[in-house]
Amino acid sequence: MGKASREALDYGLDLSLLEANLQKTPEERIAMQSQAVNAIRKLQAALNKAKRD
Amino acid sequence: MTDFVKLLSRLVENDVNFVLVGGMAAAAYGSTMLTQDIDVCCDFSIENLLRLQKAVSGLNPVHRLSTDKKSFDEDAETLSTYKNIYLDTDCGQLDCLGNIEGIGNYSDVKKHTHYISLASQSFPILSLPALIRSKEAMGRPRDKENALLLKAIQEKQNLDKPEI
Repeated sequence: MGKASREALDYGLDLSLLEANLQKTPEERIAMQSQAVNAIRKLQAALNKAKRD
Repeated sequence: MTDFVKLLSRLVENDVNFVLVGGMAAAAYGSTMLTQDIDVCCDFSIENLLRLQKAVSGLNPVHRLSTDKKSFDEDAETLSTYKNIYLDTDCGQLDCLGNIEGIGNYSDVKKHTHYISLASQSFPILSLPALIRSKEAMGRPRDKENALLLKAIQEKQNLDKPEI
């Protein structure tokens, strides 16, 4: 393991997902961000609905 | 529905002078941190801002930070007063910045640009070393974390390069 990876781990960052992420294309990585934001929005809407009901 | 790829493609298709920066650039390089908007450094010339308006037209663009969610359809004179533009569109949030911490304005940022493929198009992104520099210059905890991840990615890329 290199110095930068060691520094990230020591800071408390989880590098376990990095390897899989680096196998993807930039387009796939950006699309994943869109999917995550859409999932968050759906969850927020469901929570708001639950509060109102 | 958020679709960042579509939003970026529209900028390229409409010849907007921009460079992808910030968290989405970090994500494109492989950072695992979630970001909820696209940050681009833009040429703030009137001509370019009019191309930006055209690129997001039809996506119901509004100024996200204005209390009345003002539509992004101003005339050239009003556009000329902006230093940054924070939009909400049907495809997601788009922040257009005139200056990037640690790098400078669009002309400076352009000197540190790489091109990567997206939706069969070539699009500009801040180089990995410059992105790390900008994240370190921001100084917020989240940016520090992203800088550490990006350095780990950079290190891995260098380790993966075959020795000549």
